Amino acid sequence: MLPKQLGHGVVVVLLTVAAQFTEAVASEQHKVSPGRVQAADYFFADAISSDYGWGRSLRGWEATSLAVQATLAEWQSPLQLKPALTVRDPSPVGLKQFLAQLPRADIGKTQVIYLAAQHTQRGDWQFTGNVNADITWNDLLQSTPPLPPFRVVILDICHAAVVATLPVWTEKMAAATTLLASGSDEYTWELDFSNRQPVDLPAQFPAATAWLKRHLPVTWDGRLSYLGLIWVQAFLQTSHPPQTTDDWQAFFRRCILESLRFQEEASRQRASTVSQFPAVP
Amino acid sequence: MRNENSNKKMIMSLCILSAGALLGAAALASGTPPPTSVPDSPGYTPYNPASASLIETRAANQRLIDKRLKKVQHADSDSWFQTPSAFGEYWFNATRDKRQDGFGSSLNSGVIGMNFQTKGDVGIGLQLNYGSNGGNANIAGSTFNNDSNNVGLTLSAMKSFGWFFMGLSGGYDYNNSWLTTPVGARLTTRVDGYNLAPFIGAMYAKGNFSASVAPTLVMRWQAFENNTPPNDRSSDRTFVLMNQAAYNVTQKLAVAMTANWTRVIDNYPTRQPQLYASNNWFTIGPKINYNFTEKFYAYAAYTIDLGSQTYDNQQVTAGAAFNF
Repeated sequence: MLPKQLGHGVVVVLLTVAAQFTEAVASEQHKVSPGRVQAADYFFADAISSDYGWGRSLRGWEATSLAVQATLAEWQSPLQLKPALTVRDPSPVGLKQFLAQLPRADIGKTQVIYLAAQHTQRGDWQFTGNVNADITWNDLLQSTPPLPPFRVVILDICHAAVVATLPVWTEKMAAATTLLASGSDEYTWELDFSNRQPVDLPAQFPAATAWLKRHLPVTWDGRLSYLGLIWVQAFLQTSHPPQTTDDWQAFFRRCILESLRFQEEASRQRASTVSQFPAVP
Repeated sequence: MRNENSNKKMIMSLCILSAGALLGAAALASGTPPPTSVPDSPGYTPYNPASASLIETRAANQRLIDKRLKKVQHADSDSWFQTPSAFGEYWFNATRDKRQDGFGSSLNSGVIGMNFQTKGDVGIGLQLNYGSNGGNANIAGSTFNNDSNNVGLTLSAMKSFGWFFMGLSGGYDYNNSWLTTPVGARLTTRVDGYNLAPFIGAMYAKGNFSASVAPTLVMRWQAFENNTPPNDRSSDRTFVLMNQAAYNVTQKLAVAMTANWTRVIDNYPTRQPQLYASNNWFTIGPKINYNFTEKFYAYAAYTIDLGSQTYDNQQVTAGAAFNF
């Protein structure tokens, strides 16, 4: 038992040291070469159910969508990116239309899709407004053609890993590379960079904080989803814009490592298990 | 821009609510003659700020407000049982009745409880307290001792609508006291007490700062049973304007300031009207909160009652809580 624990500790320390080193290097590279090594082209679309009312809005998730867009804009040339398709607080019909409108053909760009909402452990998307309904992924994806392999999906929801157990997800989405924000029995939390508690994020993640302040609107209130921070942390250590499926899988592995690092160094309680689907050994 | 507007609305609403609460309280203060007598049974002094049921009701409501203020958003509102916490607390209250023949007493109390958030932005809390009171008075050169034990159970719920909230606490407490005269005679009194405390309020949190204001009405009913009849009943209503502001100094340390205003609205005394109550006082004091780990924290607080005509009252509280 002791050697195993010792080994685990050594791995964590090495990971930490390596991550801090690469963060510092990447931060410097970022300053020197904002255009990155090789430009890529991205198609970005997002669908977010946010306005749940009574102070329960997912403002942090909206900020995460902006942060993801900003990272893609930094990776591509020219340095601007507008969402090709965006929908806020969709109805079930609106979300189905959004999914159906995503390009099926290869448009020569990596398609990055960001999805966020309140989501149940059963695997239901909770809609806002007067819909008052939880719709299963089976209902949402049934009439949707399978996604092509040049698609990257960011599923920033609670109990995200539940989708991997759903036959309809395997059937329709398995070709895409998906980043899952949480385990099947986990919440994914909102982080607040303006509040020292429960985690003093600016003190623990100074590079990410500085980057977010530079790239998010001045009206940003400091809220960001957990996956948003993980994404930016991984971005700051990535100099090569991901284009191929292998690139994205490598980037998502870095996200997973960043999530582990967050759990070790910052907070276990506010962390969730980030994973990718299909799982990559 | 939307955030700025909502902040302005929130601040304005807080001001309006506070002003309304103060005006309402002032109207009550001027329109209601102060009670001339109270059911101030030795060992069970409902108008004494040290009364356990009033302290515990106030604390139960404030706990739910604090929990909501500290709530961290997550992307699932479908769970019935979210962010549970358990806590244990000890408080010591020293009170001195400034009136002639009044009792001075020391109350030690232990509290355990838990709370959680559930669907619909609702907080639920449950707490159990046990207290032991020792008091004495020097009356006409002779010492009377008065000791008591009390047990109380409080259930509270609070629904939040963004910055606005409303809630209700309800409790039962049982008090057993015995008065010993200088010649050794003993008068035993048992009191069954019930209370309801509806409250509304507003809370504000931005960055490291948070604040809340919560006008609360505490209604209590007591049934007295003596070893020497007659037995009797009484009831009272008290208004409490609970105010608290807190600031997170570091990731570990937070400080808070409490400033409550309490006003006895009315009472229906039916026994022992020999003592006069102070019916208007402020309770103020600092609180410090330290997070030992991200799940475990401890706190300490001190409060003093000001403005009371009849009681000198101070309280020290220490507690710890665990967030599961």
